[in-house]
Amino acid sequence: MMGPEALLALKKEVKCRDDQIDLLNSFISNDATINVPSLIVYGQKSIGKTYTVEKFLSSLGIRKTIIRCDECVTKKLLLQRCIRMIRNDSGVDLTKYNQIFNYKGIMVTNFGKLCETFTNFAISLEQFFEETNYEEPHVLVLDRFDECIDSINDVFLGFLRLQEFSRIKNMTVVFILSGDDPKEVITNMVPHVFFPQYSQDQVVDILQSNPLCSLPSVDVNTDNHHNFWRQYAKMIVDSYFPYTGSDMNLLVELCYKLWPRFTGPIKSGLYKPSDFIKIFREKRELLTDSSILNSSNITSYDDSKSLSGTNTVADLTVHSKFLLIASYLASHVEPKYDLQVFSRVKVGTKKRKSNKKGDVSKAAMTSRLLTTNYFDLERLLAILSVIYRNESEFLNGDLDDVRSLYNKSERDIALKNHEISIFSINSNIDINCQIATLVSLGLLVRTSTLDILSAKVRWKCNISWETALNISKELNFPLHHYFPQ
Amino acid sequence: MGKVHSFTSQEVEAVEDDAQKTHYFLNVGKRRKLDAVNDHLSDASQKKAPFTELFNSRESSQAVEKRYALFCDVWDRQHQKIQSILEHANTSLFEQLTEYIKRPVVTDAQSERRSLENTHKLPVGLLLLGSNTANNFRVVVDFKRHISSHENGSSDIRLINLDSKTCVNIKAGLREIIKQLLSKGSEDIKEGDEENDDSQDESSDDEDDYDGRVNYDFDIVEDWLARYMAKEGSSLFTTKLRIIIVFRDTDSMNKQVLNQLLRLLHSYSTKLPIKVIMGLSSHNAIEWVDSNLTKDLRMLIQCVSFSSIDNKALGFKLINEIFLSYDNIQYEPLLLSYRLATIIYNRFQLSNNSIDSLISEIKLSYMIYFYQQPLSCLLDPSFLPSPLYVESLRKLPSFKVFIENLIFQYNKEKKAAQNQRKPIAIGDFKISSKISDSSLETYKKEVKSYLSSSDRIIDEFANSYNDIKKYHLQILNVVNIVHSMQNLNPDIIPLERIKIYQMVVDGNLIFSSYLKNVLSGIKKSPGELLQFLMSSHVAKQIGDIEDKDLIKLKHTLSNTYDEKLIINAFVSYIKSERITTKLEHKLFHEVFSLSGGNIINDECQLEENYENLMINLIRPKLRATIENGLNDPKSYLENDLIQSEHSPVLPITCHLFQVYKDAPSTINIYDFFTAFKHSLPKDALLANLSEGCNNEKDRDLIKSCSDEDRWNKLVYSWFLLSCFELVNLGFLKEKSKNDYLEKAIWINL
Repeated sequence: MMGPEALLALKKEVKCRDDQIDLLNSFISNDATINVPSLIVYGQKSIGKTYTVEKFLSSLGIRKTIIRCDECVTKKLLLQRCIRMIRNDSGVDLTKYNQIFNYKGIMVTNFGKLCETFTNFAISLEQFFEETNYEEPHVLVLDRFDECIDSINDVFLGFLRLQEFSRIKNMTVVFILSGDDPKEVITNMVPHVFFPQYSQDQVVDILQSNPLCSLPSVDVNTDNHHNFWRQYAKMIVDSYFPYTGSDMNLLVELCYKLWPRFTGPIKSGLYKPSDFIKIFREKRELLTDSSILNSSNITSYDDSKSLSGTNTVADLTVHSKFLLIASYLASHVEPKYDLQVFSRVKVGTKKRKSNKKGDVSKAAMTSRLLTTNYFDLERLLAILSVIYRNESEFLNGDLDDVRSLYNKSERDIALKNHEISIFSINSNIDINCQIATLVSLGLLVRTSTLDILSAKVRWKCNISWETALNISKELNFPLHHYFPQ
Repeated sequence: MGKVHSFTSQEVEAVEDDAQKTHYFLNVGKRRKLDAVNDHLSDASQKKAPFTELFNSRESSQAVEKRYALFCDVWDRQHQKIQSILEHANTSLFEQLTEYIKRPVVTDAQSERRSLENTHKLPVGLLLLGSNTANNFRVVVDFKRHISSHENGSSDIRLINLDSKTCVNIKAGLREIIKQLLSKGSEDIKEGDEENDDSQDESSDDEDDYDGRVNYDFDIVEDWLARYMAKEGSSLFTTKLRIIIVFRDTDSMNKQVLNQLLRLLHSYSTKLPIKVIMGLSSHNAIEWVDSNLTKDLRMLIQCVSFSSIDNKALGFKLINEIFLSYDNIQYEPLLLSYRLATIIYNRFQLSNNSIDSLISEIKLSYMIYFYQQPLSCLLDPSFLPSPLYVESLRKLPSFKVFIENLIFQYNKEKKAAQNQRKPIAIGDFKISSKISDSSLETYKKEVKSYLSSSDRIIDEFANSYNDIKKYHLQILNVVNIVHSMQNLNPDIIPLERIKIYQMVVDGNLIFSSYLKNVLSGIKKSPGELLQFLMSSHVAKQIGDIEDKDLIKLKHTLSNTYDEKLIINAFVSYIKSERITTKLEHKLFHEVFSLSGGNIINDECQLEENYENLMINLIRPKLRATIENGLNDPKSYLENDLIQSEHSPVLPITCHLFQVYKDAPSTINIYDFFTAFKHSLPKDALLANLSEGCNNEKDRDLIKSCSDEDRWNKLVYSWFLLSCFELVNLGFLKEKSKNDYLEKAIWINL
């Protein structure tokens, strides 16, 4: 147990977490016999769980091992790291002690192959504790335990029961979670420490006491600086709290992001730090700028070039763009309308039965609002062939040129028209190449089949209506014509 | 051992690099040990030019070598141009990147920031490349070369290449990073001083079991760094070491894996000098990051975007430098024919904007020209043509047209002379030219001399050679002038130089609406034209070749300030006969133009349907080729390698294809099978099969197949096999009800 003075000092350092520190203090102490075997600390993201636990443990002065579970790719790696770190943190002189592990009946000295299972881990750890007579109280903190990339719920159970089935009695395991307990452990009686969200005032308080950014060092007294920061922090929290909640990471991020722009007038010497209100008035639009929330931390290396250049589809070749449009049409026009839309055949439209119940049938909805459908490659190519012949500038634009009237005989023109009527872009095998490119760019999606020889691969377009519309504008393509009425 | 290892790793890399190329080259294995005889043979064959003797093998071997030498000479020059453009295309980008890499990873400001956890950010460079993945790949490879070629700084930069194939999941990704990093480290030590023997042992040990860690444990890197810095005597703040992780095809990577990897790298970035460079197939960094990375991750990284040179612009720059530069006139007189220009332009613009593919097209065009045109020797003025060449010059279509033209002229004048002699009914009609019999006779002699005297032909060839050079210069001038003047009219969609060139060579420019727009642009500000003409962008003289029309135009323009006169002078310049003549109408244009090989019976009107040998080789009509092959397999099977005299039977699939051709659009499988069975020549097939057998046992087996029951089984197995082959080739589709097959019919492929 920590003394009351140390506790007070800790509470002063770690703000707004008095109850949690008291709880931790009652569960964990320097006496191994009265420590709980395991403890779950939980609460929402970035509200100071790890920070509080770390500070508490270090001011308690207990031997501790902190594992960041989200860095561990697999269960095996997690367990290996635990064993390695516990050995390192135990204070046992490892140069004199050489642990010989039992790996599948073979004695080995390093644990590269160990910890395939939790039992294996427990045995090795127990062996270490016993052979070195390690009896000091030790706390193992498994930070972000639920964010490990591998599924580790069975390990969770293992850790909870560690003291039951091994002779290790001096180790406390602290799990830090951001969600609920998994179902494997829900029936276990484990003490929980809940970290509630900060209130708005608490957030302001915490931010104000940590001046993250500093003003340019003009000869102003530090008091002014401090005041400026306090006002700034209050302003940030007041404007963004509904969005961020008590997520400290987000808030800190926003503080950093806005600081240079907000303090610009001070840097340029226009205002003094004491004129917070004036600066606020001038820079008010910053706080309503939604791009601050959306945009990521991207800067251009070459300042002259803008960040939001053309999008991915802009520099595709003409054929690829037609392919994209064809895929969009294939995904959004139902095959039953194909004859009506893509051929010259006149199709009598059937009268639809009126829907008395008032339900909206699928046919009545704009097809682009529905999910994209899968299509066969042949259908895509057929559509491509039709729309390319109908709409491509290269086949239809030439007649505008005066020269075609000057030096072409009637026979030539007739020949050309014939050629247009039988033209098909699909004979161009670059098309296949481009389909592959579009797939690798993620603009076309295909189903994967286990049988690579099977011809039954289906495709789907992966662009939005806006993108399709942009492309069609660029190509002068009347996209609307190709949707059934 | 070390050398062998490095060699194989290079080879592996080469194979990996090949994976995304559109064309592949057969490399004769370097390590294959040839015996002495083979050595001798290969030496002999190396000395010989790889071209065959043309003129029905009557061409002399010197001439063949001459042609080969000319090809090498021309291509080397062009290749050097290409290389220098490509090398300098991304220099500024690479310099920026190198500078970015060398910046300290953890700055003081950042270290202050770490008062609160998680505020440290992973530096990520976003390389904004175009949508052509093949080109992007080249940029990344070039960057690698750039880093390793700048020896002084490279030892501190560890470049780790990751791609979608190596990063199928996070474990594999980490394993790859660790493998590449540590193997590079040990290589360096091996190459370095001999004093570090013990450290070499240490690191090679590491390679084996990574100090008792699993091989995807990133702590290995941390340990490695600690040792590295201990050796270097530096800290994280001062170290020059940079671990650069390059994702070369970020768009094809699994986004979840990418997010996980970046997250993991971020958590190590406080301890390691890590920077990430991602090659994106996009030009919009914000959009890409917002749509591909999670919100949490976006807060953890600090992105810096680098934009690369536009891929299309680079391609057209290459084309301009290779075909439309003034140097060509002196050193390389080949003009791009209208058709080849169209094909190259269309393919690059419409369907494949890969630089590598463009270069191979160009190279192939040159190869085809020098390979199949025996007259290409004449491009070298020092080459003395034998009578064979003169004869063959006479056989060129353009020469025939030329002679016909002369005869036509002769006949016309003869008629005129006869008319002159007749008493003229209308009194005041006057004949403008007085043609005497003697002049007609000389004219006749002249035409005859073209057909009989070889000296005359050689002279004429030299003349037209000179003429074509002038034409070349004039055309380039027109292209340059029109290209720069098009900017004066804001309504024009600007055309590339090659497109203008294409119009000029075809004699179409003066008829086009495009020129009309350009002229209206010039009308608005004629001063610009004057200024441009006086600048160094146009050349009135290259060597001893002059552009007289341009000189005249300059002269006229410098004396006048009247708008109308300027326009008129310019129009008459553009309309002058020298410029409006089509390249195809020039005498001996076959020798001077690069056409990429002609295809017989190609009467296409549509530009997009244009074909020549070059494009047909690079981009064949797939479906038509397969159909032809199935229809008539002889063209594939009857060659010297697999020819056998007694093979009257076609391959089985071809039989099925014949049946398929006659079948209706939906085919009942049983009917299909029966028809197929009857189409097979049973006896011939069995005889052919038993002929191929070596031992008695097999022969007996085949004999027993003549039994009807067994034969049916055999045919059925063949049938199934061939059916699947047709399905995979895309000729047939299985209906969902299994007793029918559907024909996949494609018109005009």
